[in-house]
Amino acid sequence: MRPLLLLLCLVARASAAPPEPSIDVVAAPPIETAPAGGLDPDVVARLDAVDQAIGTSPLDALVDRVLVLYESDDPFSRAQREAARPRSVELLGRIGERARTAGDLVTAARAFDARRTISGGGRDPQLAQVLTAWAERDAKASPGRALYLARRARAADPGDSRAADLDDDLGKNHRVWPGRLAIVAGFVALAVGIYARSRVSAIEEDLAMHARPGDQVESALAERDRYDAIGTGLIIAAPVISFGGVLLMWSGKPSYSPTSPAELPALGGR
Amino acid sequence: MAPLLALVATSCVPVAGTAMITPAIALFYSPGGVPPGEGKLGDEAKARLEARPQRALASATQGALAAAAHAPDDVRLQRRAGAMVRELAQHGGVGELAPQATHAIEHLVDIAPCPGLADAAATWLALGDPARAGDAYVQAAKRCDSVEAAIAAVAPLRQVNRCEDALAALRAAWPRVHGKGGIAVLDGVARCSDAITLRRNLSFAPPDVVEDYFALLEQRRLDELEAERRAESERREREAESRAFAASSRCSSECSAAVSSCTSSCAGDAACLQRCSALGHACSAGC
Repeated sequence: MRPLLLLLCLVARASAAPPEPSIDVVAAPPIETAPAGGLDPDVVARLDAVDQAIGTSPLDALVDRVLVLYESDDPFSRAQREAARPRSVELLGRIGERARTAGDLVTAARAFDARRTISGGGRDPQLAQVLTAWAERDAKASPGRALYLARRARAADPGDSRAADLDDDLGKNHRVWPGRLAIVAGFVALAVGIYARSRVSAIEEDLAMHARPGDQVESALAERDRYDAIGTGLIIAAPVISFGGVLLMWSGKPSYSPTSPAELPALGGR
Repeated sequence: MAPLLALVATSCVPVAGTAMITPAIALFYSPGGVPPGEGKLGDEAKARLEARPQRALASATQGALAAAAHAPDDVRLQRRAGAMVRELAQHGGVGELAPQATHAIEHLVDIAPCPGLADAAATWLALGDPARAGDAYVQAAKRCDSVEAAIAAVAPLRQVNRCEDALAALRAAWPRVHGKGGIAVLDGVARCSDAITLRRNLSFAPPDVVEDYFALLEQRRLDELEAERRAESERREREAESRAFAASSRCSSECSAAVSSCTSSCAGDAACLQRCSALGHACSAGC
């Protein structure tokens, strides 16, 4: 994991550096990385093609086409990203909305996620809603992925209560309090058991100290036996109940960690 | 039976009490939920993020080649396409774009040999064709009066054992040389010569320049030797320091062991202990 993070940091740093205005060629003048108009004709043509294909072509492929400029790390693409940003953001927004309307949560999430990354990572309620819907859909089948989506949704829109609730629900150990109650119940059982055992001793001492008629002795012995049974039972049951509580608590600890689905993040290291 | 029950009853309380220690601890240190944080990348996401830049570069290069084909008179677009091909070649190969790349390079040379030949040479070099790269640099040197191109021709032509062509280009470029470019040209000649042929190959330069160049080569050789000698001496110094440190540590540890052995044989005698201590100091000072 550590080398990957380092790699992502290096890529992020490289991406954050201002693009070079030209590239050098041995024995020739340098080549300008961006034309005077801001965008090369193939970049404009690619974005135009995406614009026209929304509604007719698979939306997932259109997201890929818009992202070519942002994923290719050549100096020409880097130099033209800024000029292409407004158009790319607009196109990704439209693709996302269309995919969302069609019920394609994954493509909608990819489009909105890429849009948020390209536009600087600000608040994006649309992305948060789509990610939350996706997380809710997958929560049972893949809780680790759903937790990742919920947390990403929360980062996109900290005010989204559904994302926050889902994050809390998936990230929390729900058996802590029932487990604690069982442990406390065990302690209560132990205390009552000790009390019952003390009553047994008290009855036995009372019978040894004072002479009583036969029926009273019989009754006292019956009461002693009752306390004895209750006390011994509770003293044995107390650790069983408490350990049950401990096991209950540990069994509730989530065995997963937030893990991204294959489709996210839409852009790496940015 | 009754004594057994009594035994069970009396031992139950301490056993149960002991068994409650773990739950009591668990009551305060209970397992929490998933730690905060955005999480980690899944294996599939990692694979996708690693593969995408290469595919995007291929797609961008294809776009650049198409744009160059659509605007055949736009020299910048032709040169950009060549540069993109070089990028792609350095990041895994051009694959099925090779015919388009070849066509673009040839077209660039046709419409603008200067600087097209230099671009073409750099691109052939990136595509792993040093012979064509060398030829293009030689052509650039001739047609564009470029000394830099003549110098750049040496490496690819040397790779394909065509030093004679490189030497011819350097000889032709010599009259146009100014300033420090002269040394680079002579270095190019030196790279394509051996001890026997160097003087003959340098015959195009004035004799005083050749003599100065030989003096420069000698100075470089001496500098190199001096740098090697210095590096060797530094390495030896480091090794000696390391050995001295190891010996000193070993000596100190042996002194400590001797003092310890001496002290244990004193049986509490103060005078003996004092002698042992003095012995230890003398021993450590000798280290």
